[in-house]
Amino acid sequence: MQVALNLGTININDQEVAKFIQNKSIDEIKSMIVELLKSQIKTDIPKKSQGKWGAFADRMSGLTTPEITQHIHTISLEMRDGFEFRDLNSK
Amino acid sequence: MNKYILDTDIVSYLWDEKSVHNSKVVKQLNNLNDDDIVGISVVSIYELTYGMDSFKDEKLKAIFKNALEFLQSDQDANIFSLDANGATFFSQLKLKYKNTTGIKSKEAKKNDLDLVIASIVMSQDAILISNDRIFSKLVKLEVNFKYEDWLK
Repeated sequence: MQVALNLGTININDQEVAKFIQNKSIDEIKSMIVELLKSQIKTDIPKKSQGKWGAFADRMSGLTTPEITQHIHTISLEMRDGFEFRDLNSK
Repeated sequence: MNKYILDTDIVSYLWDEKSVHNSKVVKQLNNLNDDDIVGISVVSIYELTYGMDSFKDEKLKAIFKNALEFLQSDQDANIFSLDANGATFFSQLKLKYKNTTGIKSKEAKKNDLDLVIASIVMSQDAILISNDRIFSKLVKLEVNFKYEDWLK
């Protein structure tokens, strides 16, 4: 089943969010909306852990929230896109 | 035995059980062998610490702090640092990136941190796990750089 969403105009007042999406394409934003909707659906994830790294995954899963995930992505983008080695003043 | 370095985005999905990507990361970790090595780069620690400190919501900040401390003190997780061995990898990769893409020096600066991460990975003879598209470009340039996208 497919559903077409017509969301109209979305006004974004949050400056961080506005900055984050201003260079995104429409397709990227559509994809983000679909991922956000997916995250709202409760799914049963198999919890059966296998071995050392399955146990590690169990220990780590559920430590944070979607708000923190989004914040990490924003910060990571800021750090990686904004990172520059300093030009020497003595040049 | 393989050594895996999880990039910051992968750590965020691993932590967040509600993320649609969480089950993909968990599944991949489940498939690893016990003698494999898993960790994160010191760059991710820097990013996550800055992310935690810059969080305005005090309640979420406390949850974030707890997750970061939990990861750093985990008995099995490793933290891989930048060292002098990575310098040659960084230099060669940056030159290849600039020469191949024709990108100007000013623009290439934007990818310096990505190149530092790739250099840590190569220095450790590890495999980077990330969903960042820049690494799918870098892996085509440098045979010593190993990269997987577990979200595909």
